[in-house]
Amino acid sequence: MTAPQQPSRPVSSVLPGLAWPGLPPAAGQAMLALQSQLDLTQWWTVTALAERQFAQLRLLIAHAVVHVPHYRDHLALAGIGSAAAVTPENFRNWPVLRKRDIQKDAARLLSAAPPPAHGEIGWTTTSGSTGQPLRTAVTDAAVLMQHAAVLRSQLWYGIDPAGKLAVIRMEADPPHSPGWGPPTDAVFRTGPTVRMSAFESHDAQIDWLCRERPDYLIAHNANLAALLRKSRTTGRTPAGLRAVLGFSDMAAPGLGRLVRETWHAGYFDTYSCAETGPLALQCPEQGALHVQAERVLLELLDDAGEPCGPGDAGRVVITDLHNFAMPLIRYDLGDIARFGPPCACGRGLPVLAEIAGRGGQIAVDPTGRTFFPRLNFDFWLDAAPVHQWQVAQLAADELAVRYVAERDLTGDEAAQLAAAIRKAMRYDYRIAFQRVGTIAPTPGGKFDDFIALPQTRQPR
Amino acid sequence: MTADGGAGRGDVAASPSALPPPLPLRSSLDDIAWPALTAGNGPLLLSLDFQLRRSQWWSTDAIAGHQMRQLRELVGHAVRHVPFYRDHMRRAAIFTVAGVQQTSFLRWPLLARGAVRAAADALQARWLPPEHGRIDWQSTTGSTGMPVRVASTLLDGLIREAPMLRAFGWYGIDARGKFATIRPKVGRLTHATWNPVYEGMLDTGPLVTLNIAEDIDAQLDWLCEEEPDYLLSLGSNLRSLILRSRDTGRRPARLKVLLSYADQPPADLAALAAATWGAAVHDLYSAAEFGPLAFQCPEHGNLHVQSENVLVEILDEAGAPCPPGTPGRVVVTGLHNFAMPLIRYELGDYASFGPACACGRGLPVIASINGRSRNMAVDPTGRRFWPMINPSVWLSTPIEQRQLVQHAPGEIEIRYVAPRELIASEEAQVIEVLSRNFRHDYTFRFTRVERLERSAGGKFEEFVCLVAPT
Repeated sequence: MTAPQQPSRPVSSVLPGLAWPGLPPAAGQAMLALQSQLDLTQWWTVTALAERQFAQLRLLIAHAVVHVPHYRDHLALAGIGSAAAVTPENFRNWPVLRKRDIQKDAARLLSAAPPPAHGEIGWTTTSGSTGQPLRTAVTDAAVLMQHAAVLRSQLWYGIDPAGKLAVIRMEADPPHSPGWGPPTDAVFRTGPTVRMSAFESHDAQIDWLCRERPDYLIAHNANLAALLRKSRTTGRTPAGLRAVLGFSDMAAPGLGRLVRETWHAGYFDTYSCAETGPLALQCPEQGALHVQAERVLLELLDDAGEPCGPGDAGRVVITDLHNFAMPLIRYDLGDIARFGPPCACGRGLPVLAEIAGRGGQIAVDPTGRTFFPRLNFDFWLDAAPVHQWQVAQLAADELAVRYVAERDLTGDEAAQLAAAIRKAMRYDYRIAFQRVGTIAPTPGGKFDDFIALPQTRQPR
Repeated sequence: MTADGGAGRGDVAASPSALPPPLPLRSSLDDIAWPALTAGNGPLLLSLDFQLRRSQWWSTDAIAGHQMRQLRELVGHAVRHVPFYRDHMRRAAIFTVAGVQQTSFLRWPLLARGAVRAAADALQARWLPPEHGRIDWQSTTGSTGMPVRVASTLLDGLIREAPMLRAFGWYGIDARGKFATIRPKVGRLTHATWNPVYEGMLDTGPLVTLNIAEDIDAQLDWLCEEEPDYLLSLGSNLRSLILRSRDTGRRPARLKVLLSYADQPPADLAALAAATWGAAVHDLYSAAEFGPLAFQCPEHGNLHVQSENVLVEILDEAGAPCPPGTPGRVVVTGLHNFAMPLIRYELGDYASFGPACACGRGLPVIASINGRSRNMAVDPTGRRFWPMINPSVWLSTPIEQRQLVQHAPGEIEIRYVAPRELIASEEAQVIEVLSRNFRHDYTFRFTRVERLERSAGGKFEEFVCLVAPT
C-alpha cells in the first residue's frame, strides 16, 4: 500500500491533556467515525456499495410504507411483497416522485413517526424552475450524513481548514463568522468565513474578493464564470486564492482551466441540490463527479422510466437513504445527466460524466433533434468582453443571446459569437444579440445559461 | 483535474491496492445501518482510527512534532501533579513546559525499571483530568525477574487500542473471523467477542483462548478443533506448533494470519508459516506498561514504532541517541498515561533503529530487537555482547530444544531436550561451532533436561546470562 504524503493537519482536541491524537467534541467524534468509514467505502466496488445501499433502502422503505401516507400503497404499486423484498430489479417499478407531488401535498410526505433517535427535524426551503417554493423536512441524522459529504470534499481536495473561506450564495448572512460551519468546526480549528450575496454586481464581488483575500471560495458555477470573465477584462485578481469550489449549476467546460489560468487556484465541482445536499463530488484526481453513494442512491432514467444504458443521458432520480422525516424515494430532480465509465482513480463510487441543469435546458433544432446545448465557455472569452450571458431558444430555428458587458458587441464580435454558437449547436440558427443590465438567477438560485423552448422543458 | 493551483495535496487515507476487509461496525441508530453510527467506544476509537490512518503517512519530522505537542501536555501534568517528577524540569535544565523539545528532552532523567518499584507511590498522579476516566492497574510479565505494577487511565487504555485497529487494516484481518490466542494467564475459553472494548461498535467473531503451558500436541489438537482464522502467540510457540503440524500432518485449515509477540520471532517462522499453513506472520512488539510499541510493516517486515502511542528512544551507554543501525537501550515514554506517567522509562530491551521504510510511512523503523540485557553474554573480561549462534549447529544433533545459560564469565551450560544423551563426538562438534561463534574460550557443559521452562511471561529465552553486572 502506498499513499501520498499527508498534510499533517491535527484534529482539534477538547480533552484536557490530549493534544495528539486529538479527540474533538462528541459531534466531531461522530463525524470522524463516519469519515473513517468513508475512507474505505469510497474504494469499494460498485456491487459492494449497491449491496449496502439496498440494505439501507429497505429500512427506509419499511418505515415509509408504514408511517408516510404518500408511500402507503407504493409496495403494492411496485408489485413488491414487502420492504425486505426490495431488490435493484423490482425497485425500478417504484413510482417516481415528482417535484409537483411535493408542491401539491407536502404533508403526505411527512413521516407520522420519525425515529426519535434521528434527532430534531429541520426545514429546508428550495424552489424549482416554476418559482414555487418547496419545503422539505430533514432529520439531524440525515443532515449529519450531508455534512459528512461536505467534510469529505474538503479532505479530498486537501483544503486547509485554518484558511479563510469566502462564500458567495444568495444569502449573505452573517457576513462574517469565526468558523467554517458545523462539519469542519466540529473536527478542526477553522479559519474565518466571509459571505457575500450572489445578487451583488460582479464588480462588487471582485472588489470584495480582492479586499478579503480568501484562501478558498465557494460560489455557483455560473457566477464563477462571470467573475472570472470580469477578472480577465479588468485585470483585478484576488491574491492568495488556493482553491475554488463550484456548485449548483453545471460547470461549463473549461471552467477549471480558467480558474487556474486566471486566479492560479485549483477548482473542484460539487453537484448538489437544496433538498438533499451534496450528490456528487469531483474526483480529487481525475475530475469526474463521484456520486456520494453512501448517502444517496442515484438513478438515471430514460423517457420510458427505464435505467439508462452507459453513456445515455437520462433524468436524475435520487433517494436520500437517511432522511426518515420526509423520505424522498425516487425523487426526480429535473436534471439530466449521463453516467461515465469507472474512474481511473480506482474509487467504486459511480461516476457522472455530464450534468445538464434543468430538464428545460434541452435545445431543439428544426429537424426535431433535441440535445444538451454544450456551449463551450472559451469562445465567449476569445470573442468579446462579455461578463455574463444566457442563450434563450425562441423558436426551433431561433436563439437570443442576452449578455452583460461594458458596451455593445461590435458587428464582428457578434458575428464571431454567432458562428461559434452555430458550430457548437450544430445548426444554422438565426441569432439575435441583446445587451442587458443583469441576468438574474432562477428563484432557486441557479443561473441557467440556456433557456429552452417551453415545449422542450418537460421532455418526459 | 487536480488542484494544482495551490490547494494542498488531497487527503487520501487508503489506496485501492490494499483495501482492508470492512469492519463489522454496529450502528446504534434505529433504521440507519449504513454508514454506521456506532455507540460505546465507537466514535472515540473510529476518530482515532481516522487520524492514525493518516498520521502513518506523515513525514517522520511531522510525526515527531506532534509527539512533542503531546509530550508537553504530559510533562506539564507530571511536574504539577506527580510528586516523582516535581524537580525533573530543573534537573533537565528546562525552564518552561514550552521548552520541552527534542534536544532538551535528552536531558530529562531516565526512569529505571527498579525506580518504578521503589517509587510506585510518588509516580502516581495526585490529580487527574476527570475526562481520562477510571484508573486500571496492570502487572508486567516480569521476565526480568522484577514484576512491576503500573496504573493507567481508561482513556490511555482506549488510545492503546487504536494501533491494533489500524493493524487490522495493515494485515487484512477481517474482524468477523475467529481469533485464537495461546498465551500465559488464560484458560481454555470461548468469548463472544474479540475484545470487550468493541462492545456496541463492532460485531466481531468469537475469541478462543488457550494457556501456553499446555503441551504442544494439546495446542495443535485444540487449533484443529477450533479452526480459527487468526492466531496470536509467542513466536517460539508458533514455530513449535508449525513444526509439530508439519511432522504429524494435523493442520488447522483456516488460519490466514499469525501474530507473534513477546519474544523475538524465530528467523524461519515466516517461511515455515507460509509453507506449512499458508499463513502470513506479523510481529507485534508491545509492553504491558505501554501497550503497542512497534508493529511489523505489512509490506516490508520492518517494525514501525506506534508513534501515536509512545515516544521510543534508543540510547547508548552515555545516554546519547544511537544512530540507525547501532543497538542501544530502548527508552519509552507513554504519551497519554496521566495516572502514572512513565517518562523516559528504560524498558530493559536492546534494539536499533533502521533506515526509513520503503513503504513510505513516516513511523520510525526498529531494525532489530536484540532482547533484554539478561540475554547478553559476558566475555571473560566482563564486557557484554550479543551472542550470535549459527542455528545450523543443532541440525546434526538430536537436540529438539535448547537453552544456553551463562553461570560465570567463563562458563556456559547447554541445557537441551532430546530423545537421548548427546554422544561425545556430537558434543565436540557443537563446542567447536559455539567457540567460533562466541569468539572466546568458554567452558561448555551439557545438561539433558525433560523440558525447558518459559519465563513467567511465557517468553522462551535462548540465551540467559546469570552473571551479575559488574
